[in-house]
Amino acid sequence: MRYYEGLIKRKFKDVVGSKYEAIQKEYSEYILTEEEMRPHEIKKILLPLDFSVTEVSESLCELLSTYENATVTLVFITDAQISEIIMASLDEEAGEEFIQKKEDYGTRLLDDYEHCLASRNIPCMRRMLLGNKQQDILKIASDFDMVALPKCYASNHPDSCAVSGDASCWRNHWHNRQSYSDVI
Amino acid sequence: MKILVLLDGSMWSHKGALYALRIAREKKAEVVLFSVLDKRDSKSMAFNFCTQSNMCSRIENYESQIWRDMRKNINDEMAQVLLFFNREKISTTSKIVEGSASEEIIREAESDGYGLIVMGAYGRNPRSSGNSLFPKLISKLQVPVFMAR
Repeated sequence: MRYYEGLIKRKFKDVVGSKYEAIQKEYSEYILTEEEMRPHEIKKILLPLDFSVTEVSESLCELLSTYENATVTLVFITDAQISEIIMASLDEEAGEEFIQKKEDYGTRLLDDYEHCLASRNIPCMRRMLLGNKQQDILKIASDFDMVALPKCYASNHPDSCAVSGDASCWRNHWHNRQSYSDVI
Repeated sequence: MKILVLLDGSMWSHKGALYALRIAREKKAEVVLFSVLDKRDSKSMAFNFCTQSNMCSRIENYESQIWRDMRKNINDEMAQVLLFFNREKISTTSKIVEGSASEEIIREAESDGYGLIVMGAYGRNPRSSGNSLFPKLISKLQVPVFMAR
């Protein structure tokens, strides 16, 4: 921190005068403090899943095994809005059936990911939610050190997902100095 | 495992390199430090300078000077990071190419059996706009991408 403060003071000494703090704040987007430059310890990893994620990524499990003391939290989310639409347009039973099918798929996917992680001695926890795939992950992400986002997550097009729509969207949300990293 | 580390002169890409170092150490991976120089950047900077200074008669001089500086800066940065990785006993090489950043990165990533790409979450531009390469790379690449923030 001291080095960068010194650097800014030196570079802007003729310009800023007493406005040093305001300038430092204004230009903080271009410069990282020494604390921020230090990679943080990764202990809690979030791995969001949904029905768009069709296969377990062995390479992701392998990568996550780098972080010896980390726990991976697997979260499978079923879209509540879609089930509400089905209930409203058909009937409650159809909506319930939709949720049941997605959750059955989710259970299998969570089992497969759990197996992939356990085989590498990575402890994991699992959760199944009915909610919003984007907002719910955004809400809980700040409790984690890393978000490992499968490429197809929330794409709704498992056959052709080039990139999750949410990955692009989150890029804009996660612009504050939050201390987690992503693997996509 | 082979890791492609993207460096663009920003502190975020340096931070990415630090994460890559940790992964390389754990996985005994080989690292390639990669940077792309785009001539359009020097053209655009020279053009902005000439329009603001009303000295456009020398625009070609500005452009070549900026281009030389860009090359020197990235060479210096690459050498520093390479030295750091070598000191940590990580098998590391470096590559600097010229062209369009996204095209060259995709070409490199697909050509050489990489298992991971590491980049900064933000480029040289303010973090609020994110790393402009992100959508282009993510949509094309099959290799996992680690974004450091």
